[in-house]
Amino acid sequence: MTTKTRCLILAVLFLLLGRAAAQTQENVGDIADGNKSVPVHLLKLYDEFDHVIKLDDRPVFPFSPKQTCRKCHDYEKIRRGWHFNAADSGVAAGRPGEPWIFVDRQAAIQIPLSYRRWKGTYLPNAMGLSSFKFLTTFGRHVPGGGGGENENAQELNDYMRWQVSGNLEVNCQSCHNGDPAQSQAEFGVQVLRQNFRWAAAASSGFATLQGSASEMPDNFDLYSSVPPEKSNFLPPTLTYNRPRFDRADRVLFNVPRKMSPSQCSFCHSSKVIDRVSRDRWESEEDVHIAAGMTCVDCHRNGVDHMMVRGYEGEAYAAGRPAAATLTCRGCHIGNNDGRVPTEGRKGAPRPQHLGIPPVHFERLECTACHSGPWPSEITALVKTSRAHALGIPKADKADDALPHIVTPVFVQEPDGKYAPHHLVWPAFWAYRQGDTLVPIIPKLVSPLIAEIYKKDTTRVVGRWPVLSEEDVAGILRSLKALDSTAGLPVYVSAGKVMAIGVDGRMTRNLHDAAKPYAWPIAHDVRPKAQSLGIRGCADCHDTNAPFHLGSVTIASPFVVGADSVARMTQYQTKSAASAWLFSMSFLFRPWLKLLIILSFLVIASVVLAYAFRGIGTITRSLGEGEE
Amino acid sequence: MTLLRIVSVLTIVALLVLIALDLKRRKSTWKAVGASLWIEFKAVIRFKRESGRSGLAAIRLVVYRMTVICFFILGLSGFLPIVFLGEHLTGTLLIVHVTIAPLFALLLAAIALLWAHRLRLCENDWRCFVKLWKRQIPERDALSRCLLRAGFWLILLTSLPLILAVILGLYPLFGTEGIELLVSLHAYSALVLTLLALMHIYGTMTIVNDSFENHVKE
Repeated sequence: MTTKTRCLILAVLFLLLGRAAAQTQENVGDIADGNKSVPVHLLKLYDEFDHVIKLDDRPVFPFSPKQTCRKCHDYEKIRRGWHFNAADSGVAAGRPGEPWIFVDRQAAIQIPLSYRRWKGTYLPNAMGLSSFKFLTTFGRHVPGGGGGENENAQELNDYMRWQVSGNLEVNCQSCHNGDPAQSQAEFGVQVLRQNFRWAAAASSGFATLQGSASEMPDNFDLYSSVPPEKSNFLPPTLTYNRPRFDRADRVLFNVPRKMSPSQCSFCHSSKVIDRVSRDRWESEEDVHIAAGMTCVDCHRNGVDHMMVRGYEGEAYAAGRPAAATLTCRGCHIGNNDGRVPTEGRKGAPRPQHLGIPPVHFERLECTACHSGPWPSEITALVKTSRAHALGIPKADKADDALPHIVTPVFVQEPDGKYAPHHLVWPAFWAYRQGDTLVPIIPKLVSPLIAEIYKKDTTRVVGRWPVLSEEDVAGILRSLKALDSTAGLPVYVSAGKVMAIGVDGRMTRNLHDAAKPYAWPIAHDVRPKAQSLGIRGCADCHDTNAPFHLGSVTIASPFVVGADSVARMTQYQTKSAASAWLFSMSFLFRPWLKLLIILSFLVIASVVLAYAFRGIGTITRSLGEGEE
Repeated sequence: MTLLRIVSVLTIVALLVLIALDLKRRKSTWKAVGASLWIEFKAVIRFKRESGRSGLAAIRLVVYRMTVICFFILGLSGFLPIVFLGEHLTGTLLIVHVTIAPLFALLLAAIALLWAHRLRLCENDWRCFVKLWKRQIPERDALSRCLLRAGFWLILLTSLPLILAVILGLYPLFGTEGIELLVSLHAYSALVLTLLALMHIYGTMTIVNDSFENHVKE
């Protein structure tokens, strides 16, 4: 063996050992040793090139959560968790949840999108959203990761922009930073400005970012100055807050064991538009939060970040038996599976459910009675963080801001159980190809709508266009003219597909694509005294009780005319007549109760009377026997 | 629920098979059995007043027939979902069940008032029971009469927990486990009542018609 060969072998061995050591080190933070104190995270910062950040470096780079946190945590495992894996291929879709609702006011579109391919949702590229555009539209409410750093999901057309913006890595601090200065709103704003690589640092509370990558040209380079044609624009410029760094260029991260509900709430809030109680002080918070619990007390996860979603059946669907103990039933009643009792966790009270027939527990999710807003005759509008950009400066704060989502809708789920849902009616333009509707991207439609408004100066320009049937017909004709081979142009709105029939008249037909998309809700949980049924059966079984006989608004914001309504029973297997008939039986129930009680007393009296007589006869017979 | 399902199916089917076989033995052919049942069915649903009956006797007959009809409706609506679906009673069947049930309770109370005295257990019945206890064979007529009377009282007795379970369940007195217990009590009482009532109806149909004074027709 020559010296050269020996050196080569040694070099390879060094590399392998070094890698093995590095891997062991990477996971050191993921192995719990049982110590319950919170580890102090006094950390050196690393940039995306894995270089330690020093304050005197020029240019100063934003720290990379990926490179900084992966020193102790398995980043690759973490980035496959629920919050980040939607765009990954081969990931289970999971139970349908809240979609991203794309709204284009100028194109009269509100449509549910999801990379998870839930039934009733569309892939973002159906609206012309590449993963880059998806982030600059919805990235305000993502914690990074997913399409933000998955190069397989990044389109070639956006290559140059990705080079400017950088990757949007998982921002660990979105959830794991207890610093009051940590701002997810700032993160959201920076993502909208295409400042992907800077967003985590900008939102951390120990750095300030100025400038916008969106204003930089495609050939913008981190190391060079701004080209002359953009000299009036400030490039993304980061300034670290020097006092937060110690002599070794380390920063103290406040990483609590459990993050506060406030951090989850940024992306998971909802505001029901209550026509009576309009102010914040008149609303209530979730009973669990009010009791001092945190979201992660129930929605737990391991290093894989596959958060427990907390619905019945998740344990089976996800193959994680422990998840069953973290449902409402798991904590409040227990699973009676013969293993260690799990009920009563966090002092969860065991419900008595006095007088409630057991069939209710077979047919209703716990949330049906305990979660969401108290139902009224007609559904209310609800705004959610992700759909309405809640928490982001300059978001539309109006009560009727698009998209129009209605709640609570008591939908019967595939397993036959009722649960409260939010529901959105899709509105979009499409070409009908056979029985399939292929959505049309907004940039084809918005000029046509703009043209209508330009031609008719008498129209009042509102916050979004409101189209008459003639307008819709005109746009459909224009779309036909644009591409006569693409199929029959249609407009989906208010649960119907509008199209121009062979006779030239507008037709409105039902179609699966026009059906609303609904997703179950579990929060806010109301206290026991505000649960359905607390006032008796009539809460749900009155002849006008909303549970079965309420009205669901069919939101149609872009078409002239008032919103129509659908019966709640349209989303249930029970017919309206059957629900009404059943409710009617409750009108007579007090009399029937009286009748049954009287009958019982009569029968009992007769039986007792003759029992006494019988006992007399028996004693007499026995007495005679003795003689 | 599973236990109730199994017990219900086994006991009801076994009893119906026994009744069918006994009828076959009596009527020779299945066709004759069918014809006989059809006649009885028509007799039950016919509410036309028969001539020669006093007002009270006619009322007794009407009440008896209505009770039989209600019994079958309640039995079917109550046991079908349990036996076939293994589920609690819901939907249309529940509406039917809860609508008919108070009427059945009322009719049962009326039957108790109208028939209790006639079907009271007397000293002869006691002697019959004593003979059975001593493993002696009593007179066939006396035994049949005794069994019919005992059946009547057992039905009334079983109806008490049956109705009481419903009454208690209608008020917010019991929690989930308590109500499940009440539902079980109601279901098992209903099962026992069903078996007793089937035997009693069959007894009334056959034994009484064959050999005794027909206590239905007086």
